[in-house]
Amino acid sequence: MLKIIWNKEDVEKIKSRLSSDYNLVLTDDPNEVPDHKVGIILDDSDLEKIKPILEMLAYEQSQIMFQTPSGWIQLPVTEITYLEAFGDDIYAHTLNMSSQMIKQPLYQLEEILRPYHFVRIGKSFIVSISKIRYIRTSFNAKLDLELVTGTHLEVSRSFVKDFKNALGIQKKED
Amino acid sequence: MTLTGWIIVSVLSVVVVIFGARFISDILWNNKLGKFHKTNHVVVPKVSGLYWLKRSYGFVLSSLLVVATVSTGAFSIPITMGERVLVNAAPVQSLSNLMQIIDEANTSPWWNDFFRGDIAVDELAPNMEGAEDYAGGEERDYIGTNTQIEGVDEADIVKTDGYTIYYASRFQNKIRVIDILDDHTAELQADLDLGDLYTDALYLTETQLIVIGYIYTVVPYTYVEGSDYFGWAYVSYSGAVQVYNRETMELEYQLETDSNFYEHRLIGSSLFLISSKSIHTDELRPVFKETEGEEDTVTSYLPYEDIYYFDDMPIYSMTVVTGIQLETYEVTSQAFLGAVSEIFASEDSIYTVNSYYTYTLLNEYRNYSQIVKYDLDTEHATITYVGEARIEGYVGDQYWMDEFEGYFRVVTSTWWPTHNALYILEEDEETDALNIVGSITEGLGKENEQVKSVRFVGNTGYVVTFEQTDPLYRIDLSDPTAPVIVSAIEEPGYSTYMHVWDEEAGYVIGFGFSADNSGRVNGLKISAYDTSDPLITEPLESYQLNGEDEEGIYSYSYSEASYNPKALMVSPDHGIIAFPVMSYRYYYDSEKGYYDYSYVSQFMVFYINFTAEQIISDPIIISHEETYYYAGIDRGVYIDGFIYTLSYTEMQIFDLVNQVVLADDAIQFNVDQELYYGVAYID
Repeated sequence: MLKIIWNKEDVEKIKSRLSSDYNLVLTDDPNEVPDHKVGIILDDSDLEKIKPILEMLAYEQSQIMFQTPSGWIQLPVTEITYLEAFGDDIYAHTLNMSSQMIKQPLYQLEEILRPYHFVRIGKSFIVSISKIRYIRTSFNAKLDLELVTGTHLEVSRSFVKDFKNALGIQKKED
Repeated sequence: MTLTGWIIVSVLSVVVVIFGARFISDILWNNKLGKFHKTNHVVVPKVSGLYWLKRSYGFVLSSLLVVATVSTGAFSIPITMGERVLVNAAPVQSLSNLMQIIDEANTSPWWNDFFRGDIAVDELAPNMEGAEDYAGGEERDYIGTNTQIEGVDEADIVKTDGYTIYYASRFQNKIRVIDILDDHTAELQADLDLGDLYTDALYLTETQLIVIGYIYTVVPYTYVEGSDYFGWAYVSYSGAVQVYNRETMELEYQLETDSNFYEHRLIGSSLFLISSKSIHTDELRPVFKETEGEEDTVTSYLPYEDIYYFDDMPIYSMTVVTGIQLETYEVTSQAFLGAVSEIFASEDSIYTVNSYYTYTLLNEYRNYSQIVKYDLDTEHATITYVGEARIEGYVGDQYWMDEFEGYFRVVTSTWWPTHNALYILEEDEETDALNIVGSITEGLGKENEQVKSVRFVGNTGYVVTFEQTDPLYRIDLSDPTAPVIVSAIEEPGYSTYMHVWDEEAGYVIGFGFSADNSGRVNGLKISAYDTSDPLITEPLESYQLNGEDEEGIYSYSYSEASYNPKALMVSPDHGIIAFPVMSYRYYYDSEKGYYDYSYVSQFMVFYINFTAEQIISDPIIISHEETYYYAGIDRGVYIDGFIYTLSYTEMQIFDLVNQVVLADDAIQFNVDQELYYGVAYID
């Protein structure tokens, strides 16, 4: 038996998630949990299940500082749909269809964002896989990505392999 | 498939492959994306099914196109017969295909099971034939069978060449052969015994006697082992043609088939036969068993390639058209799925008509006739399919049709509501279709009047319609694209048969029924019409057979001629029309002291002369003795001023010049079987 202690304000979020997807019991028995806390009771085998959820929650909360011409800006990673480069200027496009200019080289951003499932799909594009709604294949071996915002992006031929890797279709070693 | 077809289908197939591959890779990619989202617990708005539908458009559409192109046969190589492209008929090619076509055509076949395969359609259809033919013998002057078209002979139970009379006796499978001597007396030769061949159709050539009939075998009840019922008892028919040498009366040739010879025509030495084959037999190909003289019987089957079918036609039987060259005994044949109700033959073509009915989507009853044309090669006795057309209405008998200068004219009638029409058709030059070039769809018949009889001669058509009074319409057909009704003559009653006495003058003789003013039929009549003048709206003269004779004895009369024009002896050249009449008399017998009845059989001969004051002469009546109803006079034959009347029991000779019956010279036939209600009864 394992106990996880969690902040009470996140309960509603995790409660719905756990009950719908994982059939886990959420208890708020005060004997088991300290005051102002709730606990999840789960078997050892469920640990692997709960882990990515926790990671996801962490990711959803993660914020990254980016350098802009006018200083630094903090953006939540979950808001970013894709990054686009115009020469030296990089624009970060977000879910609410606004964009933010960033003064940082694209390769750097690629490195920073890789753990958050961002992938390079062209010379001047980095996309968040989590924001892809649909993939269209086309006759010239390119891919057309439709994002949840409705924006269409193209995966250039030379980056299709990277994209496959990121999706986990192709093994990393090749 | 044509080259264009192959190119289009292969291009389409490539498109299908490309779209298909793209669609599949789409599925794979999005599958991976979905997996990725799931493992990383990313919630993305669900992709609607519309996306997939859109993405599959190309694939689905192109596949459908390929399927459609191949299945509709849009690019299939056109099947040709001679130089004609077949668009209506198609060969069945194989047994499985044939069975499938039959199955599909009979979607409500529960009642089909009631029809044993052996009972062919012609047994159900009335056999109406006849017409006009005066064949002047080399020396002897005689009146032959009343045929429709000169030069196209039609079979009958009596045939003569002026020297010998051949008479297929009813109820007995025998042919009476009667020589007419120079003093016009008769000598009975030995009967020709046909064995188990029943016939009512004879033809004569100079050297041959052709007998067409059927061989029947009664299949008795059988107990089906293990079941609780008995099998059917039925009569199995097989159509047969037998050719006898007239000199020796030996059988020269026999053709037996599994179908029934329903209609036939003899043109020169080419015999054309239309037969009806059952589609409920084990062997679906028409079978021909030929025996020539003493040789062995040769059995052959019509290949599936020569069996054709039409789309959207009810299929209750198969029609086989066969030609026999009577000098070489070469047989050629073609078959079509579908029935035949009437045929018409000219010297160049045969038309078959299949009158059928369907219900529309709104469940309305509709009557249609499919007309199929065949070209005839009268030298080699071959028949070639030309084309078909479907018109509304039914065709009553062969006289409703005619061909003149390549144009086919046909009158049709429908029930509920009654509607009559005349169509003029012409064969298409490139495809197997008959195109309507002209028609009359209004004005033929008053309200509720149906067509009763039709006659076409040259550029003129005559149509009789009837419900209460009989309008006889004369139609000018000289412009095939615009036929016009020229005149109409009205009288009570109607004609069942019309004979054009003088084409130039427009004189027509009608034979049929008289009726009272309310339209009730009350007897037989002959009428003389002048159709040339639209102002003449009444018949010139009518002769009505009374229901009551001079002695006040009530009787009613009927004549085979009212439904079979071949029973009429008719010749405008001789100015004669004659027919057998059977009268039933019911009277008080004062000797016996009770009411009695009798049958009187008479042959009535009328002289017709349109220039005389009395156009229709008083009848000359040739009576046979009081007799049984089944032994009435069948036919009369005119040879050199004498009339020979034939019945089941006897032949009387009548001297037309002196108007006396030569009773001493009469011939009694050998009736070796007792008749019981018209059926030969054998102990």
